[in-house]
Amino acid sequence: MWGVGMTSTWDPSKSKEWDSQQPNSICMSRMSRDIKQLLEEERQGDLDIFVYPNDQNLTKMMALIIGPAETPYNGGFFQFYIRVPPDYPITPPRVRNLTTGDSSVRFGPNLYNDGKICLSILGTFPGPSWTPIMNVGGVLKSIQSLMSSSALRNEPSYETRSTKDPQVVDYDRLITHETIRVAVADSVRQAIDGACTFPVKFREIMMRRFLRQKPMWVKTCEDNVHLDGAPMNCIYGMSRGTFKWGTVKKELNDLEPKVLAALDRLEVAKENGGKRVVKPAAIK
Amino acid sequence: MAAPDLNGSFEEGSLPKKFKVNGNAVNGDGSSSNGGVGITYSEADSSNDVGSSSSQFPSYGPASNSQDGDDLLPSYPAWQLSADPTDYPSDSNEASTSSGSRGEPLKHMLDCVEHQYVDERTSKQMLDIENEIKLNVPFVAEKEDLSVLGDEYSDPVYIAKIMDLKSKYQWLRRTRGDGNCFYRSLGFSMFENFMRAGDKEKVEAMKRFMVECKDGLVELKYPALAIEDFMDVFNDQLTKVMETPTDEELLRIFQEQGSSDFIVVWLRFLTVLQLRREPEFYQNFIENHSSVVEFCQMEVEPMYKESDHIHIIAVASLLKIKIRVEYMDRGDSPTVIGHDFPEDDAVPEIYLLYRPGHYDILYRKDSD
Repeated sequence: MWGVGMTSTWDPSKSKEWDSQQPNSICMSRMSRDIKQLLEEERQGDLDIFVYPNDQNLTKMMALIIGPAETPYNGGFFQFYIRVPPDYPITPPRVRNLTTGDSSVRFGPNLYNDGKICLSILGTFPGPSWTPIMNVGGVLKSIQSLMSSSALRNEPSYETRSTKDPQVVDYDRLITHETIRVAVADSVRQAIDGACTFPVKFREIMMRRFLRQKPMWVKTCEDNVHLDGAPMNCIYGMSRGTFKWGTVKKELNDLEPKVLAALDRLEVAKENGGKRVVKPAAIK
Repeated sequence: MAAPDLNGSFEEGSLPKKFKVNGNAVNGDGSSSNGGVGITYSEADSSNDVGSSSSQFPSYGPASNSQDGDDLLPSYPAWQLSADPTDYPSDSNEASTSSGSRGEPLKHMLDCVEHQYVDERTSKQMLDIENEIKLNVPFVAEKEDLSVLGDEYSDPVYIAKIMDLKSKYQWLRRTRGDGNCFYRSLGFSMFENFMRAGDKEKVEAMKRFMVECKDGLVELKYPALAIEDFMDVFNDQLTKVMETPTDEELLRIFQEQGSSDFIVVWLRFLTVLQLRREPEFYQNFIENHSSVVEFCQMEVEPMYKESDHIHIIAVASLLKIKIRVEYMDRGDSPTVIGHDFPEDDAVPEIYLLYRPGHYDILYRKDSD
C-alpha cells in the first residue's frame, strides 16, 4: 500500500527525522523574528491570516487562513499545521491543511484531501523553489493566494480556460458549497462543541466572523437551492455526492444561537479574569 | 509568489539532474502551462502501490494523535479544554471521525494518490541522495594529497589528466556535492586567503563592501532583515577566522551547517546582485529563462542549484577575485583545461577543480 515504509516529505505531522536534530541558533532567531512579524501583521489585521505559535517549541505552529472575499472560499476557516526544519530557513517548512472534512474534501487543484498542499516553494510542485530569504508568512500568503476564484485554473492544462468556462464555473460552485459546508459549518460546530484541537484564539475569531458573515452564506445557499440533489462532479473523476444547499443553510441557522451562547460564555470568562488563555485577536 | 503564477519558460533542461527522472510530462499531454514540465515520474506499475488510504490520515483531535506515533499537532496547553476557562464542553473522544465515512470512488483515489506518488517518489529519491551525501562527505573536507584522485579512475584519459594536474597542484580539498559546492569552495578559499594573508585592513574593506552589497540587494527589493542575516554571518565568521587564524577554526566555520550554509546563501545573493546590476550583459548567457530576474529566482537564489560559467563570471566580477577552474572531463585533451574568470593576465587567487557536476578546491604546488 502506498505510504507504507515511505518517508513522507511534505507532511509536518510525519517529520520524525527532524526530532533528532536540535534546531540551530540561526533557525531559532530567524523563527522568532518570523513569528513576531506574523503577529504584527495580524494586529494590523488586513491579511486574514492568524497564527498560533507553540511557546514550547518555536518550530511548530498553527495557522488560520480565512478564505478571501470574492472567491469561492469566501470567509471559510482553513487551519494549517506548520513545522519548520532544524536548518530553517535553508530548507522550507512543511505545511498540512487540517480543514479537509476528515480527508474527504479536496479544496482545489493544489489543496489535496489528505492535507498536502501543492506549492513549488514547499517543494511539492514544479516551479520556483524555496529560497532562504522566504519565510513562513510568505508561505501562508501563497497558500491564501491558491484560494482564488476560477480555482480550477490552478490545475495544469486548465490554466488558460476562460473564467466563464462551464467546468470552471461549476468547480467554483462546488468549492463554494464545500467551503460553507465544511470550512464554515463543520469548523464552527467543532469550535463550539469542543471536538477540538483548535486554539481558543482561532475559535473566537471563527465564531465572531461567523456571526458577521452568516447572512452572506445563507444568501448563497438560497441562491443555489434549486440545484439541490444535483451531483457535485469535478474533473477529478469523482462523484462527491450531491449539492445540499438547503441542509447547509439549515445548519448555519442552527449554529447561530449556539455560537452566541458560546461567545457569551467566553465574555463571562474574560470578565472574570482568571487564567485566560485567549490572546486578544485582531477582529475587524 | 505562488508557484502557479509563473508562466512559461521553465525548461526541463534547467532542472538539476536529480529532478530529471523521466522525460514525460505529468499530464501526459505535454502541457506545461502551470510552471513547466517539471518533476515527472511515470513508473508503469505505480498503481500497484496505491491503496485506499484516506483513513490513514488522522483527522483533528487528540484521539487520533497517538496512532502510529504521528505528531499531528503539538499539544498546546490552551487546547486542553478542561483547562479552558471559557468552559467549552470537553469531549475529545468525539474528535476523531477519520474513518473516511464520506467515501470516495476508487478512480479518484487513484488519480489523487498517483499524483502524490509522483512527487513523493521524486523527493524521496532526492532525500536519499542528500542523506547519503550527508553521511559520507563533510561540507568541506580536510586537505588531501592530489594523488588520491588516482584511486578514483582507471580510465587512461583521466589518468593522463591527473598526471597533468599533479604537475601543477599539490593538494585537493573536497566539498560536498550538494549543488552548493561552487559557493562553498569559493567561500572557503576566500576565507583561507584572508586568513593566510592576515591583512586586517583588507578584511575590513571587504566587510564594508559586503554592507554596500547588502544595501544594493535591499534596493532591489530583497527583504532587508533576511538579507542582513546572511551578510552578518559572513562578516562575523570572517572576523572570527581573523581572530583565531587556524585551520581548525576555518574548518569549523565551513563544517557547521548554520554558518556554512549561510555563507553559501550570501554568496548566492552576491551573484544575484551582479546579475541584476548588469542584466543586458548577462541576458546573453541565459538560454532557458525569459529574464535575468527569473534566472536568479530559479537558478541562483534556491539552495542546491548548481553553478555554471555565468554564476562564476558574475560573482568573480563583483568580488574582483580571480578564479581559475581546471576542467577535468572525458574530453580528448591529454591535459586539464584551465579557465580563468575573469580572462586577464592577473595571477589567480582561487583554484578549483571541476569534474562534471562538481567543484573541489585545489592548492598549487608552491602553497603550504
